[in-house]
Amino acid sequence: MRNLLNFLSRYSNVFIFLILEAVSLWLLINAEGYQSSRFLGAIRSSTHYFEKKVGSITEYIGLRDENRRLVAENLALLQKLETTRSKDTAAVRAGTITVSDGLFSYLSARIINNSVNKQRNFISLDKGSNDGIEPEMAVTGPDGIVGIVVSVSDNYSLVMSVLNLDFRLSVRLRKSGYFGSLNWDGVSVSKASLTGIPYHVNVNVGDTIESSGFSAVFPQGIPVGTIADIDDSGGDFYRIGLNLFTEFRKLNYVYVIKSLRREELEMLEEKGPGV
Amino acid sequence: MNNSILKYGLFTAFVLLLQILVLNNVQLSGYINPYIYVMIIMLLPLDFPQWLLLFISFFTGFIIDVSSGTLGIHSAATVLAGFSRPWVLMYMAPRDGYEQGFSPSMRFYGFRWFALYSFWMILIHHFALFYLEVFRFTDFFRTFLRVVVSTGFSFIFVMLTEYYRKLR
Repeated sequence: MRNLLNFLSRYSNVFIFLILEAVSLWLLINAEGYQSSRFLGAIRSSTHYFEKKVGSITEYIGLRDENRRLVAENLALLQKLETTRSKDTAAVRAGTITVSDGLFSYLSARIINNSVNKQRNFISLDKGSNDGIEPEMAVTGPDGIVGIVVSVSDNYSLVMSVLNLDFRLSVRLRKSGYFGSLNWDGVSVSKASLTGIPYHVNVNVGDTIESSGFSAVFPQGIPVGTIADIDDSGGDFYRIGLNLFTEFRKLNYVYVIKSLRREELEMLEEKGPGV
Repeated sequence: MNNSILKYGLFTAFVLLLQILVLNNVQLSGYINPYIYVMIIMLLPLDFPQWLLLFISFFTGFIIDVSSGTLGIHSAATVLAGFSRPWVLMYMAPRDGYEQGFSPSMRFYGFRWFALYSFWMILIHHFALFYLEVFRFTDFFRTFLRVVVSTGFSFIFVMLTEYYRKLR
């Protein structure tokens, strides 16, 4: 007995060490059930107040960065506002606004029928030739391109959706400006494919694709989508899959874009380099 | 005596606050976490009872654990560092021995001695800390890199703090 007591007192520090380590490891291993443990839950709630204080201090310390970020965001929003000032949402909803920037005039319209589940999808709009809509006008949504007007009646118009096997559009890489052709492969509501980008062009997943403005149907720079996958096997061109920005299933309002100078451009191109 | 306890208490509070409020929020590139609170254990007087030192180690680690949302990791690492302290001190003993009652600080034993002492203490502490944090030995070398790099950073911070303490 005395030996045992001697032993214990001699190595008491080792025992204390082992016990404290055991407690620590027990805490560590049981930390999985962290939230459910009542004991730790109590500690948690008592430190929550403290953590909130710390959080508010670090928040304060981070204010400079936060400010810089907000200023940048404000700037981006202001620029956006400047370019879309006249396409004010409320007015768009009222469906009465026609605005023009000299090259294109914008008209808002409401979708009254929209299909996404066929191979050739069309969208019907509640505006027609009485409102000034003509075939071959561009249609965009709040997020990006939607389609092209193909036929009109007095009060309605029919739009060929991007989700149509016959749809073609000249698009370009926002970063480098290389252009290719957009078409839909009939598989997914949110995917399209891009062809005609040559191999030497540097493309990355996530790059933004926008309308090129060739043919003057679409203004240039209307967002189309981002690159989702790149296939470089075979041929001289990439086959690129895109994620479309426009969510066709959720579309309600669109803008119909009339190109004011298209006729002039087409006449010139038809005339050619003659006299 | 009372004065030195008060001073030590204030220093402990300062180190804990610095650790929790500032250094815990430093995590550069996923590798660097300076932990200087092991100083609290390092600077206790040489004749401080070992059993009490172990308990102080545990509670210091526990406070850091709770404040950083982990459990048991810092306690275990700090208890290990506290337990190893006598051996480190023995290994580091100057030729003419220690003077009892003093704390093993830069002021009494010099820059070189203190640098070596804090290096070993921080290394022991960080080794236990980072391996307990990942809690496995896969990625052994990645964790080892974290131990080494963080030890370097903690070392710099500890030396700066101690140097400042010496000047005062």
